[in-house]
Amino acid sequence: MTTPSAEADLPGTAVIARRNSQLVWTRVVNDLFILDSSRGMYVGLNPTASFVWDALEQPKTVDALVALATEAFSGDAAGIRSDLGRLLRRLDSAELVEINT
Amino acid sequence: MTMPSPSTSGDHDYALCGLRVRSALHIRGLPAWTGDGRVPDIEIVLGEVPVAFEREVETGPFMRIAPDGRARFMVPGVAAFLVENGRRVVVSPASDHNPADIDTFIAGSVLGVLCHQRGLLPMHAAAVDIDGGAVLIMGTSGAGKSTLSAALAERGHRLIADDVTVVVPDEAGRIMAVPTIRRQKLWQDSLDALGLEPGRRLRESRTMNKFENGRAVTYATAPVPLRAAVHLLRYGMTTDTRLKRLIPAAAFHAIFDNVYRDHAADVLGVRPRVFSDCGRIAGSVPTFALRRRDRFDDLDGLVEAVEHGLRAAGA
Repeated sequence: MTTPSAEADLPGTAVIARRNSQLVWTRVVNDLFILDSSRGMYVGLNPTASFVWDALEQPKTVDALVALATEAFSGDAAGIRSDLGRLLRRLDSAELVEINT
Repeated sequence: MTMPSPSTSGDHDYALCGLRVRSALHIRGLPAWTGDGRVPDIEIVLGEVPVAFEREVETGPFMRIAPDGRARFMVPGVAAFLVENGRRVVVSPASDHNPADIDTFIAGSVLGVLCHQRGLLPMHAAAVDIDGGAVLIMGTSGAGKSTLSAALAERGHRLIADDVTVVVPDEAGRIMAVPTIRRQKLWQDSLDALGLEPGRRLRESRTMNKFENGRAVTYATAPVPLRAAVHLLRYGMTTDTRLKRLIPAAAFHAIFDNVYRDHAADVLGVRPRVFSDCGRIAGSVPTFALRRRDRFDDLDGLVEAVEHGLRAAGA
């Protein structure tokens, strides 16, 4: 796992994001819940984070995620890239996804 | 521990959650097996129960679990129980036991662990058949599950289960509430509130002084498709006893938090399956919260809230 600074965007093609394969998840209508048995906790994801989780059914580069998100959400690509970078770091620090350079 | 009196011994053929149970103990409230000639799915025998396992992944005063999933319960004055592989239960009754108490624990903790070992989902819930659909009444001990379900039974609805309800998918993928033991446990004040006569006294202790419902109650004899789940909560002197629909996230929390013997599920390593099962339920049926006062002085209002609330919600 990487520990990039909070401010810097994640480099697009060099960073691969993937789900933590140890986790179990379940969807209830539009809400997604993820169980981390090893830590005895579960979390609920908001719709944006759920979008990222769904998109990471297969590992993806940040560029690929930005392209998907730009298509799905209104907004400029630069802003989406920045938001996505922050979200991925939060998901990474929560050990829900892994980001690898 | 001593062996039980001969009057409690025998060879009985029961149905429990659609499974065939051969039991050396007479278990009141379990219907006779009327299904096919299959080898029994579960065997209940009398025998010695070890004080502890050689190695344990759970060591508590009430429950111990071995690394291979065998679970042992110790209930002073009642019995020790060994539950193995979802298939075999060994009971070692206390010398001064009340047989009804053994039934209670078989229908409770033993059933809960058997379910987790077999891949079934036990909910800490009563279940009532209301107009052909099962309504789970979920809640912690003392929430009033049995009292509310008894009040609904007084209105003519069939009971499916009391305290622990087993939930399974059927062949068509529908979620079904499965009948368990045909017996209700009620506190004296609940019997008073319902105007019911007590049946047999169950275990008497500082924490449990319950009676069977002395009234003949109609029970479902086959699984009933799940219609709704209701999370029953004690809420002081609340005057708002309406059924309130929960948003999906809250519905999931309510269902997942009311899995019976969830700690055993954790230790047995089946929590991921339980988690997925709860998600499936929360996504399939409407889930509601229902607050009741600490005292059961408005049972009619609660019953109305359930009956009318389900209809109003189109559940």
